[in-house]
Amino acid sequence: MSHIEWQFGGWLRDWSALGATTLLVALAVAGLIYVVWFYRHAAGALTPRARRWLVGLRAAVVLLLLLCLANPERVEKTAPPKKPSHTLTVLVDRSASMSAPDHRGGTRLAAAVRRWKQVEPSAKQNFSSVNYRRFANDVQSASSLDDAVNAGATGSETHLFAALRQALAENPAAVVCLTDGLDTSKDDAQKFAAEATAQGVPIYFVPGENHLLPGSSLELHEVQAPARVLRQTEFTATAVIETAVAKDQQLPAELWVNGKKTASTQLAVRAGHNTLSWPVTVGSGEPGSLTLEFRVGDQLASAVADVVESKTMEVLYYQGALQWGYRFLRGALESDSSFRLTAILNPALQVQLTAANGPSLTDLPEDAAELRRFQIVVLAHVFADQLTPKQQQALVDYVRGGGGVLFISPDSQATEGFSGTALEQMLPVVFATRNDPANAAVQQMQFQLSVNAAQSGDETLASGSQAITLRPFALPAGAQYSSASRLFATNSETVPQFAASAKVRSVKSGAETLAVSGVGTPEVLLARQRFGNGFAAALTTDLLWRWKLSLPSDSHAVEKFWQQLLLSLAPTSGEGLRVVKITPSAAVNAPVLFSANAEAAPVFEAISPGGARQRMTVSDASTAEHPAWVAGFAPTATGRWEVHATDAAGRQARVVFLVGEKSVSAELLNLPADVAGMKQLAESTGGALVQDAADFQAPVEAVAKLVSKTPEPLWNSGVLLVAMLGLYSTELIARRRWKLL
Amino acid sequence: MKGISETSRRRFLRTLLASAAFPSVNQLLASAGEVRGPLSPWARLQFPCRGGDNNNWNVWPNGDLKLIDELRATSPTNVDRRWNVANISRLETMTPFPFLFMHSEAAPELSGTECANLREYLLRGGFLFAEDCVNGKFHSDGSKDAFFRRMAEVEFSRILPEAKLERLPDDHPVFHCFHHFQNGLPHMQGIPHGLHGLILNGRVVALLSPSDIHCGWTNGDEWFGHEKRVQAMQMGANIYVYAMTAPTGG
Repeated sequence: MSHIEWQFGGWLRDWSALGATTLLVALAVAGLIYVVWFYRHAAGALTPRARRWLVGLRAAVVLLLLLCLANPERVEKTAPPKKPSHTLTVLVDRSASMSAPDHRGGTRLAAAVRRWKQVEPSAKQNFSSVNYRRFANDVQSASSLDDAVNAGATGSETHLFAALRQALAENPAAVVCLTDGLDTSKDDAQKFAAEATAQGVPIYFVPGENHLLPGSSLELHEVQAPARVLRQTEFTATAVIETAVAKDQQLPAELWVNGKKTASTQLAVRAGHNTLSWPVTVGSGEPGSLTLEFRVGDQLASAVADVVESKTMEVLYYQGALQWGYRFLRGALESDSSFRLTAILNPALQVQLTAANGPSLTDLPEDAAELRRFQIVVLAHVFADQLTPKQQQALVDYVRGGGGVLFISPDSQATEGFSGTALEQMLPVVFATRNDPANAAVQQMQFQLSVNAAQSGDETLASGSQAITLRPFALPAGAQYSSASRLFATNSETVPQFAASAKVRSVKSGAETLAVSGVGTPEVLLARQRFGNGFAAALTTDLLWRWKLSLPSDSHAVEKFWQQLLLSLAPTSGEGLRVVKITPSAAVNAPVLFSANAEAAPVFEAISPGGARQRMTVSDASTAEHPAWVAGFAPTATGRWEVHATDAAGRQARVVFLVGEKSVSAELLNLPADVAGMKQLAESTGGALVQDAADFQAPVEAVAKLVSKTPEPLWNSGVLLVAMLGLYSTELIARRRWKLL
Repeated sequence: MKGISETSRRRFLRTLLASAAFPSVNQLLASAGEVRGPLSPWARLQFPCRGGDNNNWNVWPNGDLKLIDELRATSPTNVDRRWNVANISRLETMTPFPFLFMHSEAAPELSGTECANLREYLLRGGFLFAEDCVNGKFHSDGSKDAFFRRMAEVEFSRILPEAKLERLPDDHPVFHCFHHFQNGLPHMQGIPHGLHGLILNGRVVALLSPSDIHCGWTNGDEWFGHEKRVQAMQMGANIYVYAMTAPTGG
């Protein structure tokens, strides 16, 4: 498709048509006045006929000159052929929230359609085709806007991101979506935004708004906690909360452990639907059972974790150099049968260790899979050149996968060798190097001791040795309560003491300092950080054998210290009985479903607000990977109901929830349209929020720019120039004849 | 004046040499993968012997230093080349050392306090290697195992009555942890009762030797021949390495 236009050429091409015409007319008038005035002087010498001839010739020259200046062009504009991909997809949200009328009878759908109709004509003109879709729980094709708006029933959920994802898969030039922006499918908005941005197709939202009074919802969805935890360890219990609110606010949450409030917080909730996780670190304490009860708003959910003493802890101990600490550490761990120790001495030392009580290994494995049977790997007095890159990578992979590593070395010359290794990247501290001021001070002191020893003639001090003084560990200032930090909190003989320590340059951000030196300037002695799903810890002291020898034999402080340190550092395993309420909103006489993750069918029991108990029927919903059981019942009254689940091992989980007269789905909460969310998503894809016709100009203009131009001069300027010279010559000849020259 | 200057110059040069050479040696050893790790101490136990002999515990101290040199040269143990002394009558002088060497020509005769101190030391996790110095029986009762028998029959049962003294079999780890001794303890002189272990809670907390391997350390080449000297050194290394790697028995 093409059409013809005219325009000025040459230096007037960039002028506006009006400006250029005005200039040319002005020049023409001025030229004609000049010509008439010029020949008026020769009035007496010419006949009127001759004067008219000459004026006519000169005027023709001037006009031709102006025509050369104007240089008009004939332009043919041709739009490229419309391609099938140059289509516009219009999605119309037909979920229940779009059709709910406010007190004026206005719906969000009507408001959005009204806005779109202002834009639709230009869209139809500039896109090769416009495809309509309506969506709610799923996406359906529609023949027209009216069909999309009126045909079919409203849906109970809004799968907004799924619909947009489906539309983008067709690779249209742009997508327009008439919606209130409230996705009720728990799809991840940020994940979708990243996908849409990567695809590069602009999305335009036409927001549908009305004046419904907003409601809110809150569901304490589930409690996640390990089934069994070791005594005196820490573990994480997590509450998963789903809430929908009209505006940004704070949601109070509490954790009660065995009837005592142990943690509370204010969770930040933004307007719209939110899925929140609140992880809390819990100290296990002594053997028994822990009832973990999360309270969020008027919701309550609980789980039970068993605290056990005798769960076997597999420890892999690797030692790089012979030293006395192993004898005492091994004695400390083997004094408790719950520790199984596998010890490896660097094979290059050619020393055969007496068998510990764990499985035997000849060297540190090069495969993380072989390390996974251990809860913790202790690396003591190791030098960087003793571990192959594969062994270090295996340790890194092991920790990423949930294992724990405790690195112990009091030797700065050994620790600095790890600079830049995979192992160092995993550790919570950066060790000082030879050139660091901290180490320089030590070397200066050793040199001074050598000088003093040589001057005094004391050969025994010639190597720089000095009397060994034990120094205590201490809690760092402002340390938070934890099982590990408690080991350093008292001032009795239970506070460990060390003789030597490696210098630390810095503790990495995100790492936790658990202990520092208690005398003089505090130096970092023990730090820990999460790394992947596991943790890495660094103890920068010796293995504390001098402390053990300094204590009375009836003291078990050293044994307790090592056992509790390893227990507090070791990750937990296993999963507790977890009950999840599947049905989001409970109503009288409507079935409410629950699921549990037990290996064997658990017993489900519902307890009414009046205390009546009702056993629920359980069905198997297990998959190949995960065991699952589903149970359901229909509440007979409104109010606060409880559901208890008990598995074959006697573990219990409890959910407390409210039952109303009617089921309130997230779709019908009348949450306000998420205009801010739509705007942000649209702009991230290069689109916009369309509130009037001007907001949709960008795609129209983008289409217009695709039109190609073919300019063609109206005539050859050379011909005009020759004609002009011919006329001028004729005029000169005529003037000569009439004796004016 | 001249003497002072010469002494100062010598000390100064020695200082320079020590400060320059020590790190170099350490680095060299480290690069060879040997003698790394923290310094491990060696200490001789000072104790009284029969007849109020308080000066028999320190016989042939150079034998200890020769073993330390051998350990540093041929094993991965970074033993401090210092001859420390721990006094059995003062517990606090014993506990800085995880390993004590008890050696004399005469039979020990310990007081109640001394037995209690040694008991406490062993229960805390310390390790004792007690060995009969057979060579000097001229001023004892003339027998060649007075030290051994006194320790085995009297002193150990006073120190740790709940522990059991047993002859260690030839396949015991102490004979194989570093060097291999297929026939058990190498014998230098005296009565070959074999190496005995004082066992508490299934763990060896002390070793008692009748075979005077210490004399092998001291002057083995001349007294017993080169092969015996090598065996004595290697058994000494095994005992120290075994003590380092076996768990405490408390």
